Amino acid sequence: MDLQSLQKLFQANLLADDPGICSLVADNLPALIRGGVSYQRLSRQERLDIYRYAYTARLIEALADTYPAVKFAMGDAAFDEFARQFVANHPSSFPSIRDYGAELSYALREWQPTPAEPDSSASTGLAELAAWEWALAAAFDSAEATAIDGSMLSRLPPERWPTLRFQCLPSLRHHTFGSNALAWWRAAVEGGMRPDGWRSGPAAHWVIWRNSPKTSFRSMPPVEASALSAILSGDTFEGICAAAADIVGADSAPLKAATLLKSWLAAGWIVEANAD
Amino acid sequence: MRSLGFGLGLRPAHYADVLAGSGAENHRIDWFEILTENYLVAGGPPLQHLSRIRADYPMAMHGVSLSIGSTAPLNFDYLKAVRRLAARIEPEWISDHLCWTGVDGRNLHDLLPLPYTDEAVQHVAGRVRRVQDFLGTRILLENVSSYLGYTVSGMSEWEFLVRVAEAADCLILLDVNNIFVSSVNHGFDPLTYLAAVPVQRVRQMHIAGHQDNGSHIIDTHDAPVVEPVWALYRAAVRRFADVAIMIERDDNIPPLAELVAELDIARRIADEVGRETSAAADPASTEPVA
Repeated sequence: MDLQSLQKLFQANLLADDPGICSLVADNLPALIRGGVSYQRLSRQERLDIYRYAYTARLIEALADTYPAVKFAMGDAAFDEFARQFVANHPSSFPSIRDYGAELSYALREWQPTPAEPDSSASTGLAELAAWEWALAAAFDSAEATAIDGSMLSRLPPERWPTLRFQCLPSLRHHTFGSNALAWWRAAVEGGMRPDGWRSGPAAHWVIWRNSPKTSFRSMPPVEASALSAILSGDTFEGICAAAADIVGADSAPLKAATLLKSWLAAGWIVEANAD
Repeated sequence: MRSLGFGLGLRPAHYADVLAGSGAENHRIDWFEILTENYLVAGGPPLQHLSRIRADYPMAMHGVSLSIGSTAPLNFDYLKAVRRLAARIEPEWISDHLCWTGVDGRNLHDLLPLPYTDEAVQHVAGRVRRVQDFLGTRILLENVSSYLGYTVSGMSEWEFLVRVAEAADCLILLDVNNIFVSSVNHGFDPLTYLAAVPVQRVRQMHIAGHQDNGSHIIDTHDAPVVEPVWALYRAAVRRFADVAIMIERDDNIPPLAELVAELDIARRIADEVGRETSAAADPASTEPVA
């Protein structure tokens, strides 16, 4: 048996219960007595099971670390069961276990607390809660950048403003809730009151950012959310105005966009601005 | 090369105490080992803490995802990230484990045992040489705890470790607890293991706690070091004098002062062994003064 074949069989046992590795596991050890303690010898399967158990337990623990509020909202038993299934369906390919579990939000959209009585508001809310926790973790680890003060903009001729493009803080993220997931998060992490259930509602826009070292977030009105989405997707100032115009009208849009830009500069969100 | 002394694993729970820096316990920590993967990020508070602590302490980088024994291709994106981190903190050395962690693009996030075969020796040694060339430094390989062996193995674990280190010309991070754990799980004499390892290749030692399940021992790093491991450690420092010692706690993290007190035990044992060795080398020094 060559090394590659052995490793493929071992991995297939951990990930898919393939028994092919069993006959390659040594099972000829003498009984051991040490310090007056008799160590029972383990069977081949018991030895493999140590690795199988550790594999699943380690990834479930990683998910619990990344998604404490999801675990709080689901309850320990339901979270463990869901996480076990998730781990079975999503093997890791990341060097760092901290990067594992990005797809949890999508998987939660299919989850039901009581399959016999589907509750779409619970699965939608949990999915949003997971996306929120992932976004917070991503902002925490994102690259540092130095904000510009905007003095360059005051010197820019008006005819060049439409072509302005911006680079935002790498940590800046726009998040939309259609449920009371944030109340669940506050209950889990900030000790807020536990919501009495899952409710859907009108879209609520939030922005997450980190001005080193503190990660911050706040709500946004729809016009700011629309304009921020435009800037994050690489639109020019003209595009930002167009995004604002959808909500405040074309006449008010340039002034609104300029006001928003000024507040973003003051908040330290803009790290680069270039005009053609 | 002079030893770094007695160190601890740097854990987020202790950032504040270490950065405060004025506690007596901080003065009894000579250096820190960091978990490489925890800092392979673009930015954020952990990297900032790391830079501040690095200004006051020597550091070594200890990874878990090199997968040096895997038959999958070396992950050069990972190695580039390791190299960037090394450029940032200028570690005393970089270590990882003599194991594999996955094939076919998977990472099983465990330190899986290799078969002790000639093929594996050649395979691993070749990869170590490539990694050392890429990183521009010799790395340390750590012996892992294991719970199973393979029928295809044709040599002992210690023979395998030594042959890989010699063939790759790398250094060794000797984990005393792992030797103890595997000696119980596989039924070998841990002193035989120690005696087989070349003194000049060992740059660092780990000591840690474990979980004794009666039928076998699991390497959990979640409890204080137990007496049989201290006894093996005493034998190890007798053979490997003047190497860096480090207590490895990864779970159930206690207050920093508790780990420093445990480190004091390691220091005291090493001092006792040092005095015994000096006395043996110079019998006159033990004679009573007239």
